[in-house]
Amino acid sequence: MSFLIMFLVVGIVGFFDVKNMVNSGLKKELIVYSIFLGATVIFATLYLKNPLRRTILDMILDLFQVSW
Amino acid sequence: MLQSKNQITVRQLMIMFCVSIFSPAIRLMPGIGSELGREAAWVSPILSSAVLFTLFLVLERLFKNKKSKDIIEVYDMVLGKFFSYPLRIFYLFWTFILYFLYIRYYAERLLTSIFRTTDIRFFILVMMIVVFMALRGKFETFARFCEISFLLFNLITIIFFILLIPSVRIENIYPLTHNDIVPALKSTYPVLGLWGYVTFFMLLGDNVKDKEQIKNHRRFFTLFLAIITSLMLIFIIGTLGHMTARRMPLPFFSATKMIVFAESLDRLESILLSIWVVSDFIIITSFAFMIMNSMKDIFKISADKYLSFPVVLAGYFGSLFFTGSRFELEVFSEKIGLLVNIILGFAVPFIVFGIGKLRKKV
Repeated sequence: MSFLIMFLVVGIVGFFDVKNMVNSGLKKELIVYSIFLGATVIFATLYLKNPLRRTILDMILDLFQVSW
Repeated sequence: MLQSKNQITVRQLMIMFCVSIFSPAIRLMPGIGSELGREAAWVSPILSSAVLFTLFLVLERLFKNKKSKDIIEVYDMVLGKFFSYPLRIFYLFWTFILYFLYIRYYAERLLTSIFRTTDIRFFILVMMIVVFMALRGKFETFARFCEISFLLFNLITIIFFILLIPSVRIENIYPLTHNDIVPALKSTYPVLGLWGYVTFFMLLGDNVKDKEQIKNHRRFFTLFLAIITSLMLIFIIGTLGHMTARRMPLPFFSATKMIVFAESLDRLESILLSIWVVSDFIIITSFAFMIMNSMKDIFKISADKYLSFPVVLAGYFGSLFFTGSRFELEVFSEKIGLLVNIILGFAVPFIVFGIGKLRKKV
């Protein structure tokens, strides 16, 4: 269900954003937007597949060898 | 006051900075400050104000060259692109971390304080929708909202301070002796860690028309922050004592719970919670603007408004992925976050200024 909602939102907002950028001739912006949105969707998918996976902070604290 | 090309004044930027740090200040300073400074923690903002004032002087000199749009362009000019580019990337990375951190802090606080059984995703979703609307709007409109919030916050905070006067026990904050010098110096750590955000706000310099005019405002904002932060620590530590304040998750919130006026007016903590949420909205939106501005400079694009959707989406999932508990957030802020803020907020501009002087660039 979460996947469906996410892809629906990304699809709707993305469609209007891309349409506006194409109409305004913003090619470079469109490339940056697509790459960033794609990376975010991959990141979100990773989270949604297993919400209980190791967190970013856990990794950072481990990197700096901070125990709590 | 209104500027052309969606630009704001440096005064508005400083107001944005002051309102933004309201939320982390009442969360971090009393706890960490009490632990490091004990009853002398309230002196730390006065000591830190000298460092902040020096930073303002350095920023003023760095922005003397009107060609530089933001702080990273100043680094470009002084260090050259080869050395400034990694700095630019690290500032962007750290801004992302702070963005996730504050979204999560906001939601965790609502869960801790009042809405204990609500799903955290609901609070994050509501905040991200509002942030998205702000990011799609004009930056100057957001700046004006910060100005109104600044007045409101100060008024409410002063009323809280006045109502807390009867609860303050003078023995909790006084006497201070020569033995308190070292703890007071140590307790400048959380204060400087948050005041260092002034350099981060200079990442928005692109949207500021009169950066070199910072000299006209540095005295006011340094004094304002020193006084309001010291008063806040006096009232929290004076009311609860440093031993209790350091152990509480939300000391200022707990202190305001003690307010009873004329045996009829109480439960004022909900007012504090509401201004806290507004401050969270301002700091989260400010960091989102910084991310968009940095990406615009890195990828050399002209319109950054479209990036608001990926930024907001990243904020929602990033904050959920960021941490599993409030304790992790607190440990990160205390051990790593504040330290990196001091490095990026104070050390880097000072070093760049020194190099600029040697290379006769500033």
